Amino acid sequence: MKKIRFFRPRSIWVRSIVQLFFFALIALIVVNNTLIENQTGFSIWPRKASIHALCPFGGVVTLYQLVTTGQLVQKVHDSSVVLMGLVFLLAVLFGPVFCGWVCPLGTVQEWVSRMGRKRLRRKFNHLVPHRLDLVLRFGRYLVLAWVLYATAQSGRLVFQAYDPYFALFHFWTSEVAPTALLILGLTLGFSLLVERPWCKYACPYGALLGISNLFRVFSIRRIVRNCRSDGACGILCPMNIPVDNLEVVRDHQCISCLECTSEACCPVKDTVVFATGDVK
Amino acid sequence: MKLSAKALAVIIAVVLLGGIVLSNTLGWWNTSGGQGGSRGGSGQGQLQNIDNPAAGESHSEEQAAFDGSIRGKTTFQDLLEWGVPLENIETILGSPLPERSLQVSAYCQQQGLSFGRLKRSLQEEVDKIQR
Repeated sequence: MKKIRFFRPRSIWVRSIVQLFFFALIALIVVNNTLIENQTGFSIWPRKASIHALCPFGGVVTLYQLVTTGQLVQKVHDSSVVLMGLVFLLAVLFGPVFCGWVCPLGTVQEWVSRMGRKRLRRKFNHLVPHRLDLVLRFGRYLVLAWVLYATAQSGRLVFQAYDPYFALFHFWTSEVAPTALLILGLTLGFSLLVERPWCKYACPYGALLGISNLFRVFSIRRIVRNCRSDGACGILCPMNIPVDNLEVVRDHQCISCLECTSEACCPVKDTVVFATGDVK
Repeated sequence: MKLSAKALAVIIAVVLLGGIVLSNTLGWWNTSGGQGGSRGGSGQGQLQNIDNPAAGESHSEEQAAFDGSIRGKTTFQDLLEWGVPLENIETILGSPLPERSLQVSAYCQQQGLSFGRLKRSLQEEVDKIQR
């Protein structure tokens, strides 16, 4: 018999805490870095670090140069390569958990989206026509290809001029390019209509990590015999993945946020779970 | 095997924060300097080596950590070694070059100038060379 839970959490609260923690940590380190540059900073562990030193995507864009010349791209540090390795390890095991649980830009988009959801209610996150949406979602692979090619060609961090993540944590400095600020503004503006627009349509790192959904060890799995097919998981998925039509989520857009699982929106216990292949 | 959200949260925190601590212990966690600028890998690093081949070995860590940005610890000597002409620096300062080992930010404090403004003007000169 299906166990229907009438009083259930509406979201994964522990995810919100983890997101807030990493957002605050990155913000603190970046502000501290600015203060140190102006000789008014205070020392925190591990040490002074710029946003480039804390970005695992920096490790990705520098890979070509690292392999071919043994050097890193300008502004990228060894710590980026370490973070890239750690995030890849997590991705192989759990998929793009970095996107759903850690990335501060994703977190900010979610915070802005709460306002949009209150205003638009059920229309929120369902405004883009389905076919157009499907095509646009592959745009981030074009961005990824361009960033990797341009960085390999120039040996410089070309994406900084367009990077909303960099703009988010440096909007008060003269280092931010107007294009990056514009893209950040557009991203936050569209977040009032769509959940995580940057992640869905343009994020090159999300594109790369999304590939891990095809082979990750732990996946979102729907136990068909328990499912009452109310469609809640599909409707409430922030990335619009039709979880209610799938048994195993292998979609390249899944961010492993677990919001579709029986721990959050699914009303039936042990129906949508995050598990390895032996759970049927 | 099923995994709960709480367990996943703990694993993410342990892998990321634990990984940083471990790499720090192993000496891999380098957040300033690194290969990009200090080892003459590309861009300005190459420029520095062309201008002064011996510079990379004799510099302090902060000097060697040049990544195209003027920071609080950047000295006038750094600017000269990066290729900014002496005349251009003096034009921006509106006075003769002070002690070369003096940090730009310290000079601003002495003269009661805004470090941000001076940094922007000098940064433009550095960027011109990079281009």
